[in-house]
Amino acid sequence: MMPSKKLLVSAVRKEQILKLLAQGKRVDNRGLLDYRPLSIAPNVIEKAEGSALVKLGDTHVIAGVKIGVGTPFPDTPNEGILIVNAEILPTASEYQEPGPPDEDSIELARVVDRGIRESKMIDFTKLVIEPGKHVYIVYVDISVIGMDGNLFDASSYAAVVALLTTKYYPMVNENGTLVKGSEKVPLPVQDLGVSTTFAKVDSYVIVDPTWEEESMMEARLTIVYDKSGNICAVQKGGNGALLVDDVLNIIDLAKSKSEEMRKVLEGVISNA
Amino acid sequence: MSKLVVPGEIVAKGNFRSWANVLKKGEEYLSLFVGRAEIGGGRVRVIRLSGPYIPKVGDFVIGVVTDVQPLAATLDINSYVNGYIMANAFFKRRIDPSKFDLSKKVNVGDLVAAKVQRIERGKDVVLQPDQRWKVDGDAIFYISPAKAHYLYTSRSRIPSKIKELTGAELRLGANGIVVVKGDLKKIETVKRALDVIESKYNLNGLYNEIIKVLNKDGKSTDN
Amino acid sequence: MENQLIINGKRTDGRGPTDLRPLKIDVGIIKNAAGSSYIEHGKNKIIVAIYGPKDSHRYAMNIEKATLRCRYHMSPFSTEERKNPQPSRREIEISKVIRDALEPSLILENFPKTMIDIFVEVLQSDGGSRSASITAASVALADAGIPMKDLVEAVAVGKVNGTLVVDLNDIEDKEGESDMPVAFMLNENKITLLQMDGKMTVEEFKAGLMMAMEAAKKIKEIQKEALAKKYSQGENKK
Repeated sequence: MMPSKKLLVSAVRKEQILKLLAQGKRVDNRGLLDYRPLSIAPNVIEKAEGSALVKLGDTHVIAGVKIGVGTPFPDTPNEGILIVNAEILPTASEYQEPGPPDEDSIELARVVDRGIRESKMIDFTKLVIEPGKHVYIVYVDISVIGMDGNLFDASSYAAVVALLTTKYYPMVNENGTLVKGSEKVPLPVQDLGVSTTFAKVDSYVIVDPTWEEESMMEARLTIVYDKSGNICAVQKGGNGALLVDDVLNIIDLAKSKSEEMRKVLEGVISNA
Repeated sequence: MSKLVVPGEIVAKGNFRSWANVLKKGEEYLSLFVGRAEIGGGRVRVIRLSGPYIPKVGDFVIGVVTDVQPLAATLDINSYVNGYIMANAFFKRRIDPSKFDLSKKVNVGDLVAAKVQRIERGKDVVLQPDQRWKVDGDAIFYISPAKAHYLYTSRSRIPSKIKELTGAELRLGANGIVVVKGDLKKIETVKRALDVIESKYNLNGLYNEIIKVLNKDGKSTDN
Repeated sequence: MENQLIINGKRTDGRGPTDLRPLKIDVGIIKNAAGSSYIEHGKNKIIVAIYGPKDSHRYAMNIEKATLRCRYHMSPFSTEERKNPQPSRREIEISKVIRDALEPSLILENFPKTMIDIFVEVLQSDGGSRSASITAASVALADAGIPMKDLVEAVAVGKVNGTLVVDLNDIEDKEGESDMPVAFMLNENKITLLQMDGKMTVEEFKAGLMMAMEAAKKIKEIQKEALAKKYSQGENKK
């Protein structure tokens, strides 16, 4: 219901940021279209089937994948299930109160979910144990440990890397009962949805906004591209507006940016 | 000249000296509200047809006392801000709050007539009590503040006409509060007139409309 | 295997790709509310009530401008299967995006330290309920006398059987290849709501956006008519 906390950016600081933007720079010396230093560490939680810790500047997000077994949804009896949850932990900032997920956490989970689901990254028809009766449930849980803006990209990268490095024991049918197989297998992967997030600050379009930049922005746009160059998910956020031209421009910028980030993610996954 | 406009609609183009309730974008003036556009005398404005009471300095308002403290009384003025009156203002001379008890003059629930003296964005509004600040009556009605404010600022003849045709005593605040003094029949008739005001959105024809409705009671016609 | 959702340019409900579903809006239907509206768009039946500006809760208070809150809620009888009255995650996200779609149009600085509530109740749900809610809420806010730069209107475009279509109905929403609700502030050529899920090429996305804008212009006319109907002189019945 309630809008989330924005940092109070002083008038002097605003001036400073705008003057730098006019010169194509940001306070941390980045260019308008540069990401912050990004580190992704897969397999950080041994008890989880898949996991990844992402540090995007000072935004720290950890995603864990657990594979469960359950009954399929009645309208999709031959498909496994994806459940994505996110929580901005109280550890993330002084403004984050403990409690049930707030609207920001819920939006975050749902947008990351869309990026995974709509890019058809995972073939859920291959996650069936017994059609109509038993399927695999893929739980992706995202915890934001440190908050400095652009939770969408950080969480998406964590979730994607965790999923694509997941190894789990499949359930095998041994004489009528389900038992755990002896060898771990990966999830049936067929694509990779790459998320990029842009913000409009004053008249400038920047990628990967920090919390401070988000507090000054008009609005942000998160876009997910699949490996064939299709757009699979878009989410506008923030209480301002974007010019139609901004949107058209950002869609193009996002395409090339996502190709850049795709190489980074694929690199991490293949080296895991 | 009184065209109905909606928010975002261009009311006028050109260079005007002053403007109200519109957004000036270069040489275009766009309405910020649903209302009636008035252009003339180098001025463009939109008269709001809905919305809360927005206090303006000089407005005559009627408020309900909600709190009495040693230094001031707080009033509900039917708005998104409260009004307050300094204790001093109720007495003829400067008083020492430790010696004079404001609750001897006003109590919670009392109706007070006052003028808006000072406004500060985001703060309660300072009021100066009217000469006849004690308001007593037999009935209280609320009408749309946008219309009440319009009747007040346009110095409409309507309130005095209603008094004349109904015989009731009437005090109408720019904030939409109407206090009536009279017997049940008079109150009933005033209510009918107020209903006309509430149901019509073209304020130009209101005066005649009200005379028509009130004369249905068999009161003497007047023009 | 795939359902035929569009045959020879005709959609499941007989419409062409750029046709809007029937849309009507009534203004000022809830006496107690500062402003209100009721919309029927396709089979969507939605009520919006505005309360405020009013005193803000301590924790929500902003000394610069009014705090805008929005609650989008679906009635339990609004869908095919009964919906649990408890707010779902979907309703919470939609509440947020609706609020973010309307806020840019409002001049909230006029009412610092206050709160303005937007209550959306979906009595019957069809595809595009969040778009219809935004269209109705903007009208309700105008009815409430909240100063605004422009009306906001929203519509969902999508792709069915490879064809771009405007104003998705329920089946198209559920079985189409993509769904993209967009909200516009047309005077300034701005977008205040934009979401998409499904698969679209860049060209389809851009074309879809333009189709949405054309539809929004038509919807704006309906919003203006609805306000004019309540607020014009004449045979006025309350």
